[in-house]
Amino acid sequence: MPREFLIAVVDDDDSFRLALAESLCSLGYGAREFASAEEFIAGDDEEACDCVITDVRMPGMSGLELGHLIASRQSPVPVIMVTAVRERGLERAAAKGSFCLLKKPVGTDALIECLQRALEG
Amino acid sequence: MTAISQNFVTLETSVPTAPLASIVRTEQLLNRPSRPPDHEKENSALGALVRALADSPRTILQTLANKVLEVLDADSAGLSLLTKDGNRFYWAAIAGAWQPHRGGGTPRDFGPCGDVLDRNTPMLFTHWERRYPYLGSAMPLAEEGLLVPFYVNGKAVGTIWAIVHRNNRKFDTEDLRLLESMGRFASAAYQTVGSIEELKSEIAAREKAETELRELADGLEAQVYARTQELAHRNAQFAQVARITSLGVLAASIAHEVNQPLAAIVTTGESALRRLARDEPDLERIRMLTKRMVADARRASEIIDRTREMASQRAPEQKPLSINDIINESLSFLRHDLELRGIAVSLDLARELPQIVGDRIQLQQVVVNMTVNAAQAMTQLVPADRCVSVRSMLSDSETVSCSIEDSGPGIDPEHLPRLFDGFFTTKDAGMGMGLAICRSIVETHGGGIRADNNSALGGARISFDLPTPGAG
Repeated sequence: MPREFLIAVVDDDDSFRLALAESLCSLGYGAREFASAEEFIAGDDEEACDCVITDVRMPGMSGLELGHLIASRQSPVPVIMVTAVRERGLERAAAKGSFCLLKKPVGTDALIECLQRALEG
Repeated sequence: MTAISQNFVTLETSVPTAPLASIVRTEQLLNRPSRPPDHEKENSALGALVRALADSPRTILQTLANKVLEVLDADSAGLSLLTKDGNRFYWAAIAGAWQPHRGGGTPRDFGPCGDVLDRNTPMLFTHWERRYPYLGSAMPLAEEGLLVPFYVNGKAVGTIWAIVHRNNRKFDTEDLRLLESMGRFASAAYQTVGSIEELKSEIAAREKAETELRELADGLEAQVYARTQELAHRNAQFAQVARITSLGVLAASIAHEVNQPLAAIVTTGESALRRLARDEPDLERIRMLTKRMVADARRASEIIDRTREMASQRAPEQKPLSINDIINESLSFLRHDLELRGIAVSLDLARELPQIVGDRIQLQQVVVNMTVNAAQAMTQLVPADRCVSVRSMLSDSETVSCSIEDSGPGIDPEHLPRLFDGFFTTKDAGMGMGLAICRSIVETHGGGIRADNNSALGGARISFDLPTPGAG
C-alpha cells in the first residue's frame, strides 16, 4: 500500500464507532473517531482525511446534514453513510450515487467495496 | 316474562282476538269417555284440606291448589279471587308449573275466569292465549284449562282451576266432579275463616315484595361483584394494553438499541478473525477485541431483559427508588424515538432527592407515556422548535415531583378536566389510555398527577408528585 488512507468515523455509539475503527485498522486503513458530527466539524482533520464514514441518526447534526455540509465544500471528501434503519429516501439518494450506504451490521466485503469506490472514484 | 310484569297487563295486549267459541271445549268434555270415580283419592284430598284448615287456616287456599294438582294429575292448579273492587282477578294460590305466577292477576273481563263467572258454570278451555294474548306470556302454555266457579256465601267470587300443559292428558267429567267437590269444600272452609282473603292477599303481597326485594338485593350484590371483577379484569387488561402500546412506540427504539451492540459485535468479530488469520497474530489485541464483543453482547442482553420486564405481567413492587434514575431509564428507552423526531430534551434533575417507594417499571411507564405524549404533541412543529424539558424537584420536605413540559400547542382548556379519563383522546389513532394509566399508577403510589399549559417552553406541562417514605 503506497500510503495509508485516513478514514474519519463519526458515530455517537461508542461500541460501534470503536468496532468500525478497529475494523478499518485491521484492513490496513488509518481511522480517527468522532462521537458527533459537530465534533468532526470542529476538528481540523476534515482536510486531512480521505473519506468520512458517518452514522445517519445522531443527536444534534445528523449524518445526512453532515454529508450535505461536506458536499458543499470546495474539495469534498467522499462520504459513506451507515444506518441501522431502512429508509427509502436514503436508499434512493444512495442509488443515485450521491454517497455509499451501508447497513448495520456492516459486512467486511461491503465495507471494502464501498471504501474502494469512494477512494478511487 | 316474569310474574311481576304480568301484574301490569296493558289494554292493547288484552283485547280479545279469537272468538270465545274457538277456545271453549266444555261440550266435548261432557261427551268424553270418563274414568270411574276415584273416591279414595277424593277422600284423602278432602282429609288433607280438613287438616290444613285445622293446622293453618291461612294456607287453606294453597293446600287446595296443591291437592287439586295432585288429585287431578294436573300440571298447574290454582285459585283466582276477584279483588274487592271487582275489576281484577288476583291469583291467590297456585301449585305446579305456574307457581311462579302466584300473586299475579288479570283484568276481570280479559280472561277465562271472567267467562266462567259470567256464565256461572264450569268451563273447559284450550289454548286460551289465542283469545287472551296476555296469557301467552304465562309459560308453559295451557293445553287445556278446567275452571269451576268458587262461591262464598252463595256468591261466585272467583274460580278454581286446573291446567294441563301436556298434550296427551285430557280432562274428563271425573276431573270436573273432583274439582267441584274440592271447590265446595274449600268455599265452606273459606267462609269459616272469614277475612282470610284479605289476609292472604296481604301476606302474599308482602311475601312477594319481600322476595322481590331479596332478589333485587341479591341481584344487585351479584351485579356489583361481577362488575367489580370485570373492572378489575379490564383494568389489568388495560394496563397490559398500555404497556404493549408503549412497547409499540418503543419497539423501533429498542430494536435500534439492540442492533447497535450487535452491529459492533459483528464488526469486531470480523476484525478479530482477520487478525487471527495473520502469520503472527497479535493475540493481546485479539483478546481485547474479544472482551469488547463480550461487553457488547452483555449490553444487548440487558436491553432485552429490560424490554422483557416491561412486557410481562407481574405484581407491582414496593422498592426504594430514585426518581432521577427512573427519568433517566425512561428516556433511554425513548432516546432513538426522540432523536428520530428531532426533539431536543433538556434535563433538570434536582440532586440528593429523597427516595420514593414503588414499582420501577410502572413509574417508568408513567414517564415514558408522558414523554411520548409530549413528543406527539409537537409533530406540527418544525424539528428545530421541538423541545421537551424534564425536571425533578423537591416540592416540599415530603414530596418529590417530576414534570414534563413541551413546546407544542398546549392542551385545549376544554380538555383539561377530562385529560386523565380513560378512553379520552384527541388523537386519531390512540385508545386514550395512556394518561389514564399514568394517573392510576401515580395514585396507586399515593401521589397525584395534573396538567396545565404553564410550560416555560410554551406548550403543555404535565407533572406528578410522589410521597417520600418519611411522609405521613
